[in-house]
Amino acid sequence: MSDLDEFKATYFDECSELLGELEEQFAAIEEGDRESDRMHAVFRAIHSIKGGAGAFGFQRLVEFAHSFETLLDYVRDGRVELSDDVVALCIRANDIVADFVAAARVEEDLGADFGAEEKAQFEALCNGDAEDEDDGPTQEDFDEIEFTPVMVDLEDEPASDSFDEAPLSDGAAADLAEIALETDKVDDAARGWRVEFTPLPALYERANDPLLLLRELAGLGTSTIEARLTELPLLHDFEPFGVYCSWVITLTDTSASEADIREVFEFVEGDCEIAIAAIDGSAAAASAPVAEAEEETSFADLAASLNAGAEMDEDAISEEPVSEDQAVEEASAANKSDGEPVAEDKPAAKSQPSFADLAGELGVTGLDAGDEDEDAADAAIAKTEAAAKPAAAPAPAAAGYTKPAATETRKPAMQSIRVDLDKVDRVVNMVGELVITQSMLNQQMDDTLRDKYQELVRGIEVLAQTTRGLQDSVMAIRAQPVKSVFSRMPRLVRELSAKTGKKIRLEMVGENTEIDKTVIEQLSDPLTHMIRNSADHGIETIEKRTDKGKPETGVIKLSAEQAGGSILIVVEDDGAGINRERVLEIARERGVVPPDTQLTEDQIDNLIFAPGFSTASEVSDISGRGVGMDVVLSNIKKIGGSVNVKSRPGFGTRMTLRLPLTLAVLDVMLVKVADCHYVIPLSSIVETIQTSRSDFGSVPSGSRLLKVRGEYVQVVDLADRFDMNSITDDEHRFVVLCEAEGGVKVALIVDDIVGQQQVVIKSLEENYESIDGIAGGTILGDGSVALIVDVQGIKASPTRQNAA
Amino acid sequence: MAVAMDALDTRDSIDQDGHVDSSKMIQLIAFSLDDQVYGVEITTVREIRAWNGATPLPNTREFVRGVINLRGTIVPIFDLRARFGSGKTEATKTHVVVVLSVGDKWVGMLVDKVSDILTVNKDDIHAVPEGNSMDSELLGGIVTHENTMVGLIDLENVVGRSTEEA
Amino acid sequence: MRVLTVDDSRTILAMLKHTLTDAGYEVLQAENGQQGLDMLGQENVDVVITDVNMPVMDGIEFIRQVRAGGQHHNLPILILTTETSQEKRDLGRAAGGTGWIVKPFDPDKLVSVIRKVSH
Repeated sequence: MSDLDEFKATYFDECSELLGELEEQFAAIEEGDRESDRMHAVFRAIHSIKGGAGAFGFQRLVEFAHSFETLLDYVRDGRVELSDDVVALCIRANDIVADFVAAARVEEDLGADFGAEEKAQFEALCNGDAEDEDDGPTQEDFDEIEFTPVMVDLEDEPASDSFDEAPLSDGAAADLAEIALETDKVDDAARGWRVEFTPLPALYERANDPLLLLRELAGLGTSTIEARLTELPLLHDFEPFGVYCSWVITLTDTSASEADIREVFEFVEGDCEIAIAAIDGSAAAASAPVAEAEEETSFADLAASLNAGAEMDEDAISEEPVSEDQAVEEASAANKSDGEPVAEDKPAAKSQPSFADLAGELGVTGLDAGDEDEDAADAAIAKTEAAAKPAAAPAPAAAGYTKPAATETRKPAMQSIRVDLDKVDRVVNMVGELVITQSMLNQQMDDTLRDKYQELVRGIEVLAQTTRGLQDSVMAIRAQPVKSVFSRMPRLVRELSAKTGKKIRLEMVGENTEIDKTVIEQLSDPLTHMIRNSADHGIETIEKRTDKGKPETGVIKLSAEQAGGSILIVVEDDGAGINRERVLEIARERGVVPPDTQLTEDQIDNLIFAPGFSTASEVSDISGRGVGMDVVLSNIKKIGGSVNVKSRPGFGTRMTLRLPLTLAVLDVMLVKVADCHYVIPLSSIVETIQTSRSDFGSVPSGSRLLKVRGEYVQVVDLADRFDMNSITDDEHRFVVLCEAEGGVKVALIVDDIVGQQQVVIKSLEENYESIDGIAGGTILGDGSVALIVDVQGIKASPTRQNAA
Repeated sequence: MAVAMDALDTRDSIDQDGHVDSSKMIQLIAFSLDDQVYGVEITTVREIRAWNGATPLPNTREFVRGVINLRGTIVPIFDLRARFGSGKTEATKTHVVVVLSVGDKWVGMLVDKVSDILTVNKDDIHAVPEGNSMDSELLGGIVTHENTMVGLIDLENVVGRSTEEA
Repeated sequence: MRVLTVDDSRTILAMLKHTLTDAGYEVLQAENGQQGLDMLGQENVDVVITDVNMPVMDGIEFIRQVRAGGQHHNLPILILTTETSQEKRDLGRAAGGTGWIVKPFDPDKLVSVIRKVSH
């Protein structure tokens, strides 16, 4: 796998988690839980999906997620009300995001219209809101209003949100862009640049380092750097964190444009003063003092030109590039810094107070007045700091969503690490082997040994306990809440509801029940089928329900709980229940049940899981996808689980999946057939009987039946079934009565019963192929292989593929 | 591995001019069924072990003797004699299982004994003459080594499902 | 050089790690601001790259707390943001962020930005 593929795999993994979380959050929101945390979580999830999508260039997904995210942003800060309609739209949008993700995964194009309607709705909602809103300036207003005193309100109004700031920045950026355009014309003639760089305290506060900036700048050409230390105070006035130093860099032999230079200072824009001036051929050759002289003379011009601001004309620029650039730059920086209007009509007088005022009003701009008046400069810096702080403060306070985050920090963070599942699987397998070795040891223990080696026995007992504890802990690592599967079901029910025109509500209970990850992976398909079945065949149409006096909305309840060593997953609906007459009729028609066989109600109900059975008389779009409920059974069987259905006609159907907590270790009964070991899963064994005490009968076909508690059960002699020669007298063999799924019993005849133990299931297909009547293999304590009897598959007569 | 490495024979890898073209040489593990010698490419061999029984598999192909535990995974054992239609091997402790990787699966091959490691030139491998379809299916070629005919086993076909159904 | 990357997206963390490891940096990872803070308390870090939107503690609060701690006032912190508007950057800068990287990031650009803010 290439790196990119690996990242993509990670991304899609992450997406399915995030989509699951989205389902969950919206399910709660739909229920009426409008907790703001939920909206933040939803926003973050979409944001993350978008972020990753951007990295891989999934453009359609990025665009859709972006519009969606914008809406969510408006919703979470209250600009768009979270009405039921908006919730419904969001839920739909989730499904669309899921589809975009799925499409991106298989590199499929969903067509230009996909999601377009919803996208348009997001945009309409966001824009519509902006127009209707009267309690604050809108996005559009800001695009037009430039640098009005409105922004001052921001500081007085902590409740106003962070978004109010954006337009201002945009405005400023636009302004800058214009300026860049104008100065670009100058660039062509430039042979070099003179950069005056005066850091402000904010620059240091953000861990920027002038040295690094100068280093980078020097990389653009040949540079002469001169430090200005004129502001350095006397030692007793020296503040450790004071900022006293500035630099003048003359850059020659460079092809850098002004934009390149600005890029160097990208991160410190607003945290320093920068004046960039082009030097033409002759000026570039000139020495630094000349440049400085130029700078000094320009100060008056600069101050005078403040009023003119950005309205400078091009002529002025070409005449006096240095001062203009400074003026333009600083004027715009001043505008940007905190939204205060540029000081108007304030003469750039040399009198201290007014200069300080000016500098203060300019906020972070501050003027390089050091040469003129040291005190004034200090004052300017002091003011600057003061001005910078309130400018910084309101922003975070305004962003309401940071608040809950801040309070959450007090919770101890749960520590976790990510581990490759393969590694965990290896540990699980090894622990499985350990458990088995340990139980083997236990079996070897006889009374003689117990008496003779008490210490050894005690040691083995402790080992047994520790091993059990280890097994539980390891299983807990791989356990996951069923939530990850359950969370896919709400969407399914929505779709089913839309397709059938029935009103269906899904209720979920016990989503946090944990099951082994490998079991969870196998759960999705069966669950989907069961819910489809309930929606399609269980829940009645609205009319039928009304006629029967039931509420219009049918309910499908999905629940999970742990019961002993198993997990029970129940899908229950309040629909019509199973139509037993019809089921039996179809089963007979299709030969699933021999004619004239009498079946109990339970047996009839469970026929819906029989292979080749489907009650839908017409193939419906929903359940009839060529597979029926038998798929549920076979999938569940595969992981050692069972399915049972109970129905009350007129009141509903309840389907129960019983799943093992783990797939790694199986409790089995070890038996012998023709001197070979076989194991039978303990969970399917009802009882064992000696053949001599069993009551057999036979039917015309020659096959035998076992009569047990008034019931006739099909008999399968494993020796015959497996084409082996039993060496044991019929009298001394054993019947192992098993119950297959759907309550169907089968009596297996074996030569001997060896005992019970735990085994680790091994696949036969890994190196060979699946074998009829065998569910897999396992390795016994002596290193030999024993085969696991497939109690489900053993019923039918063997399909003798190639056994000649 | 019980095969003496000094049995390595490089003479075949030297052409008339005395030059060695190593890219054309392949090494084979040679084993025998009765008097006939067969070979598989050495790169496919994972392990050679003495026969120690196998758990029989019901309802499967007759020439599959069963499965064994190879360090925790279950590996099927093909009885090569039975596969060639010459009847089931009366396996004893002196019989040998050659564990090979075929595709992504590991399988064991029950043979009488492993005899040698041979180095042969690819150019010297002859096609199996038309005639018995079983021969041409199960052998990928024939090569002569020291006046002995060595049949090169076509592992995919020996192990695969498709052939014996045809 | 050790870079602490803080992001709730595994994808982004993985990509950052790959890029930075290739460029010769040692990479530490945290999934949210709180974890990031914990890690800063235990490890020596030369540069931090943090996402903005994260559960438990977002990037802005994270930066603020790093700076407030006083021990890391010289630690360069880069904000990783998908926002094309300046809003998030400004918030991050106001909190004490050193610079920013716009997602989806270009590996070369990422490395050059780190060089730009670190010794």
